[in-house]
Amino acid sequence: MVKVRRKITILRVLQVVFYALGFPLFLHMVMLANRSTADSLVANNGYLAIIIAAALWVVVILAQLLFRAICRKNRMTRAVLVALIAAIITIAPIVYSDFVVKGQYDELVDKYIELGLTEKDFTNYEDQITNYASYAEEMNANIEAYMELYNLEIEAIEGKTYSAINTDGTESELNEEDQAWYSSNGMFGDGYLFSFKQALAVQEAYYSNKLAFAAEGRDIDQELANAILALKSDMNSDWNKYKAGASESSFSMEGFEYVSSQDEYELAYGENGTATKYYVTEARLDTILSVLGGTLGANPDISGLLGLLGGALPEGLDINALLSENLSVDQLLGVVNGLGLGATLAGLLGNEGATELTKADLFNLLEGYSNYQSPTTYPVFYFIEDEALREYAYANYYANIHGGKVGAVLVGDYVGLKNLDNMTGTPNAYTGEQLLNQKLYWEFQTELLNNFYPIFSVRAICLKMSAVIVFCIAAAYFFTAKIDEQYAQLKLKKGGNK
Amino acid sequence: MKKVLKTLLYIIGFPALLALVVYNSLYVIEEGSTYGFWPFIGTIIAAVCLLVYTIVFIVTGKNSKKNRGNRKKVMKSVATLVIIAFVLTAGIWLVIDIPMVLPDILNTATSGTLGFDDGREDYNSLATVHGKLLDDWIGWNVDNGNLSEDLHSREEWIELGYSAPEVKELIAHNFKSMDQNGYVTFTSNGPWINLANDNRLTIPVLVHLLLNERKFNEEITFTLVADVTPNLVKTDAEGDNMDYNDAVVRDEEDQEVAVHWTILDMQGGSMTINLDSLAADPKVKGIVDLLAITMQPILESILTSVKDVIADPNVAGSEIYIGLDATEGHYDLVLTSAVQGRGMHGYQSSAWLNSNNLLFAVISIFPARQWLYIWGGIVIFASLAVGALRLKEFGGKKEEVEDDEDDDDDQPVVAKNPYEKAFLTATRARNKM
Repeated sequence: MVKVRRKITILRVLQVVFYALGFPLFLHMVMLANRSTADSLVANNGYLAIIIAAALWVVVILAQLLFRAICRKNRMTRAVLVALIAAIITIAPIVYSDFVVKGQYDELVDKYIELGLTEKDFTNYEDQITNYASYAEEMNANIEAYMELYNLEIEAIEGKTYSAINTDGTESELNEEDQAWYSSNGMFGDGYLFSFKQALAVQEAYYSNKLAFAAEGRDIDQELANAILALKSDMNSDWNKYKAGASESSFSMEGFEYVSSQDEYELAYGENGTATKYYVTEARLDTILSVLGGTLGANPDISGLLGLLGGALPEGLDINALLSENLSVDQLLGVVNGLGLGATLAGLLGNEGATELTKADLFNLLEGYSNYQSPTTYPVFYFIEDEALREYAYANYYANIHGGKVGAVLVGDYVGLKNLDNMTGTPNAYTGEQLLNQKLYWEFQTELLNNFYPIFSVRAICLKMSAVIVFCIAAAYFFTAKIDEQYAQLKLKKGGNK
Repeated sequence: MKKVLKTLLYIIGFPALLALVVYNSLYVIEEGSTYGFWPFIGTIIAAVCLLVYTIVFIVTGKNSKKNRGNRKKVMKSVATLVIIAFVLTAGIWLVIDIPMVLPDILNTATSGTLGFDDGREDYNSLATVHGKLLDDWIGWNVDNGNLSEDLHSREEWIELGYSAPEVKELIAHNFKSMDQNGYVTFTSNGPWINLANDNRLTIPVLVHLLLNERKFNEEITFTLVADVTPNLVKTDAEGDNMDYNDAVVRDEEDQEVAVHWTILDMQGGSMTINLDSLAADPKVKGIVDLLAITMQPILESILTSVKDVIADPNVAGSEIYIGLDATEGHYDLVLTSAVQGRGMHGYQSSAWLNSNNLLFAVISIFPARQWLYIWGGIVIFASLAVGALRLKEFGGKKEEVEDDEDDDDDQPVVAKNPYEKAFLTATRARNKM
């Protein structure tokens, strides 16, 4: 009896080993082959390959159960039929991939060539089938380099907010589909750090419009400045109506609606407004200058130093007289322009051709460092009629002003973090054209990752394992039969084995 | 002989483990020696485990003796001892580690500023950092007179550390001011402080943090006996130009003040802007040298006025010192926060210092955790070996195996597993047909 039992044990081990070398090993191999796709930073079909592999296994299990019911006595028939099903099931993904998916791949390539990529951007289908894992890893590396360049966080590739509470106490809300936090005026919340998706969207809006204007020989920045100036100077513009709280029906913009109420602009930017406490207003600057003038003026060492430097200072400049509590923006501008330095300084600040330095020049400079767009009001560029120009204005604001605040400038020659240690930022590795092409190519790759690479993983393993699976299933059936033969040699004990 | 062997096995098990924990905790205990029992928490946990193990060791030993000859019961005692050895060593930590209990507690207690991985292996470095936090703090508070040298000398204060009631009280009192009139005022104003803390202190963020309107609680005061201000103009790295000037004792009524902390105070230390490119122009260099060297007192006076402008309630509301470092041929503009002069660290380190007793308790757990994991295998082995000796001593004779090695095919068979049972039942059914 012991010999029989030993044989049974050995046969059972072999039965289990061969069964495990079939579909369980296949599933494990698919998981390994699919790892690069599953680890992708952008794909959302990371488990599709495993689901397909598991589904193939389930079909074979169902076939086994079915044949067990149909062919109860003929074990050999059962084994042959199941082996056949296993062969068909494991060859099917190869056939599907080579005849159906190949056509879909060619269609996808054609689509992206129409969108602006060129044929040399793509490799052939056979190369994709062979090297899909390398391409998935390469894409991840490229995305990581992109995120690092613009000082975005790879751990927060879907975006994050440093506080859902805005500076003025209002809240921003997460839009999961957009991967962005929005304030009630539809703009990004104060603490929002761009997701990969939104960073690319902002850059696309910025560069596509800029390049389109340039192709027509137009300067989009100049046209934007003109449009804003027109909105500000025309007393009947929608912008001025908005500031004054005019009725919605009086706006030329179709379907205009206030964010919350007609007096929202006044509530934010009027006296003691909800936004005015968070940036350098003219009144705030006057107060700071008054403190500066008063404090420095009261210091006798400064008076002494100025006395010593008297001869070296420009004629007509009496700094001692300036340094008092009366020091204000107007006074300072008066002195600068009086000395004939206004035109030069205005030129340095980008207002070339101006004859003197104005408050607007000064506050344009300050706006780069201290401004606050209320989350409860529309910005002036919301009212620009030209859709492309408006889209560009928003993108420009997000990429430069919002990005500048959160340490992730997205456009220009120098990008990423600009702080006291790194005033200029990091040299931009992309031109506008390159970035637009890169975005398109990443979209193409994302489609491959989601819809093609899972099939490629299954195909690759099916190719290697189809014969192995069929053989192992047949072997498992063989050992099952052998076990039964051994059991047949056992004898029953009377009255036992209940 | 067996008794000696069992005693030896017991000793190389848990008692040796406790000795290793104590030995590896010595540095942590030394660094946190003034924090009472807190740095001993890890050792206490290991000692409690030893106590429980010893009780189980004795009880199972007695049970084995009592059930002499009953192999099953002796085996049960052995199993109990081995299981307890596992539970008290690696088991308990697997339960704590795997669901991230300890990391989560640490993360919550330190608002994410101290990670579990920071101390998992390198606990001695962590102890050094946290020990130094208190030593530095005491030194600065002796300098500014908050800890009077009339009571104790500087070395005595450091030696007394957290065990001195004055130190304990001053840490809590002054941190409250920094927290409520500093950190809290920034967090209620949007994302800016979080951006600054995440290495995103851009110029617009800095301006926001300096100029945003904040709400202060003027009733929360800060103790400051004397002003210790940074030296604003440095020209000689090793000469008289110390980093800080001598203390100037404040009027008695000004020694409890409501401080409006700035963002630089939250960051701690100083910020340097290199001016070498600017000073590359010989004319500019000439002017800078003239001001910094020949007219140093006047430059200091001007920079002090600039500090006063910044401290004005209409500007930033608290001091930020702007200085010039012109040592060794380099020129740096140095923005120094007021924290060190006030005897404080930056906010994060101050928050740690305020909870340093609890943090030392957590740090002391790391060596215990590490050695309970490492030595756990030895303890389990020792328990198993003791169990084997007990089994041999008290377990009686092993039962005979029912299925002998003969090969008599005529003997009837008994099903030994469900598969076999199912087969035999089916065969019986077929035979009946």
